[in-house]
Amino acid sequence: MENNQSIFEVKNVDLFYGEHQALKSINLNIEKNKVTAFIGPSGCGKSTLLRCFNKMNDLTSGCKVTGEIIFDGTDINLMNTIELRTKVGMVFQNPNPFPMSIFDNVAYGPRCSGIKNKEKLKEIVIDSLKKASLYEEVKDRLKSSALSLSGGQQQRLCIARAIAMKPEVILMDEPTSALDPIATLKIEELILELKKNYTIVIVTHNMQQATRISDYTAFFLLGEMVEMDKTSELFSNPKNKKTEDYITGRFG
Amino acid sequence: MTNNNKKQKIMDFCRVFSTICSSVLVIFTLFSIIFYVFFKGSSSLSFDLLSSDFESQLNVVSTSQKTEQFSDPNISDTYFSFSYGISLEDGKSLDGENVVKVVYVASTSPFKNLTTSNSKSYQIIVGETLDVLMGIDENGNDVYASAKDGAKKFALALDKSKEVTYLQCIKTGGGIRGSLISTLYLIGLTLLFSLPLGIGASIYLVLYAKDGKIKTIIQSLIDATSGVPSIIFGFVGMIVFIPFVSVFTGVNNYSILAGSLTMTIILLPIIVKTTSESLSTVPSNYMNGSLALGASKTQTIFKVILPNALPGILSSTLLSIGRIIGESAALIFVMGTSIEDSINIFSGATSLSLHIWSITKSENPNYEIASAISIIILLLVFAMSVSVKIVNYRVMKKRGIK
Repeated sequence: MENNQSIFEVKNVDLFYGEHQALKSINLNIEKNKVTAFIGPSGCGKSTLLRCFNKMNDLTSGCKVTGEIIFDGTDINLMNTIELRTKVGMVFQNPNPFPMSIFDNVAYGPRCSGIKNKEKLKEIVIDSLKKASLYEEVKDRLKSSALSLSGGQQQRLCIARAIAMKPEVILMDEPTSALDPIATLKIEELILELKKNYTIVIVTHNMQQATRISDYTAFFLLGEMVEMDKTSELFSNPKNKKTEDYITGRFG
Repeated sequence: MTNNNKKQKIMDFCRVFSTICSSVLVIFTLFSIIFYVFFKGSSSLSFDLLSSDFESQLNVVSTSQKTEQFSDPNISDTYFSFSYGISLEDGKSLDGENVVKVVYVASTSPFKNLTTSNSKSYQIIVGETLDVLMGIDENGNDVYASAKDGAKKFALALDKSKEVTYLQCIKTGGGIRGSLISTLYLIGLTLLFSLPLGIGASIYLVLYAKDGKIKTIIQSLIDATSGVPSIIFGFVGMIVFIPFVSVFTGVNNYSILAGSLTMTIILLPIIVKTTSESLSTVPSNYMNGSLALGASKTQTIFKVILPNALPGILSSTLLSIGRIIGESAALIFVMGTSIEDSINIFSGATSLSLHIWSITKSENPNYEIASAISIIILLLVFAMSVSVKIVNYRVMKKRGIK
């Protein structure tokens, strides 16, 4: 891994929920325009680490982060949180479109950041929906409620919503765990498509998914990062015994 | 075994029967009250009641006969004056006195175009009562009639008079226009004060305030105050708000403004409680989703959280309006009990509930009018609840929840 291509550098990050230490001195780099997958059993801290990248952990009371996370050369603690979140988008486990129209959902972020021009908003919305390969399915009903979409469509809408902010990184927290196999497949295809323009960090429970879509994989266990390598390398030739046990299904 | 089964069956029957009995009793009581009110009040319920003043109005007019002879509309139990085109009937005033009531006025009758003693134009309308008549017949003799003589004599005396020199006509009062308007003022002002305050406070408590002892104490205080009897607030309102309003008006007196400030205090705990509940049921997903898009917390609250809490806020508004319409004890202290016709927010007036209280505690309690007002209150509350449901449904439909 070459440092000059990294978009995120995580240095000695510890995270505490009150007394409980959820992350233990994590060090890793996230490469630009690549898909990085975080795998590991439930409660291993992979989602928690993901939420550190856009400071979503700030919302959890009693949560304390130490160490450094460098985004594009700047410590994220020195950055404006709102600015950071516009550059680092996030897609959640359960599709969470707002109860408003499809158009308003995608236009929500740009509107919040102050874009008022209707033509420009429309352009952004259509462009984002196209990038999230949802436009063809919804172009006739942009005004209807986002909640009328299917689960898979809702999740792609959430991706479109994130894309509308023109982020550099998209964080995905188990984006397909609530979806059926066909919708999952569509999201995976979309991720491979998005990789060209965005850096993607994805948390997944599904190891096949990690092998299908990711370039790098990091394996977490009990708050520690056990191993991180190229995906093909990690799954075919794990260096750590625990990783091997996990990917071969011996535990977890 | 069979014995046990039988016992069980009997017990089951008893339990079910007792629940049925209690529900029948509840429904019967409620419906009989509503039925009583409708039965008693429906005859007094009319548009006149809503639109007329409470104070009766006395006017003295004079006019003279036309050559025209009018044709009798032949309304039963009425007496017709052919030369003035007016039908009269015997009736009783709200105080139980004999009166002569106008039941018909021909469109070309001289009574449609009158001048009062203080030279204002005036016309007699159906429902007015006539009291004293003085006139001059064709031979120049005086004619006199009074309401005590009855409608028949009054009509005859009218026909006799070539010229009416003095006629007292009374627009009967008892209307609730003033109280209706003051109720609307009271609702409007109270909501104007209490909704922004209450919603603001609940946004702070639910979304900004850090969990801790102080928050718990504040919340339990709010819970406690929502149970305080309103008469205590009324009494405090009298001590605090009447002097407060007098700073602006210069008059230390009852006022609708003081009433609405008192109602605001009574309603705040309820509004804060229901709004807080609806704010905290908005899924945290929405909050996270919005923040992750780089929206600020304020933007998130106003664009996502508040619209989602709207149904709860609407129902708390409805609840508040119900309380405002129904409140009487507290308002006696701050709005007074004298029924007014000209309404000003800086002076005292009665709301509909206080109007009921005022007319039923007077010397001649009028239960018909009280029941009629009750029907109006019931209809108001019903209309309110339906309209809130409609708005709610529209909002939900627009957002695709329904």
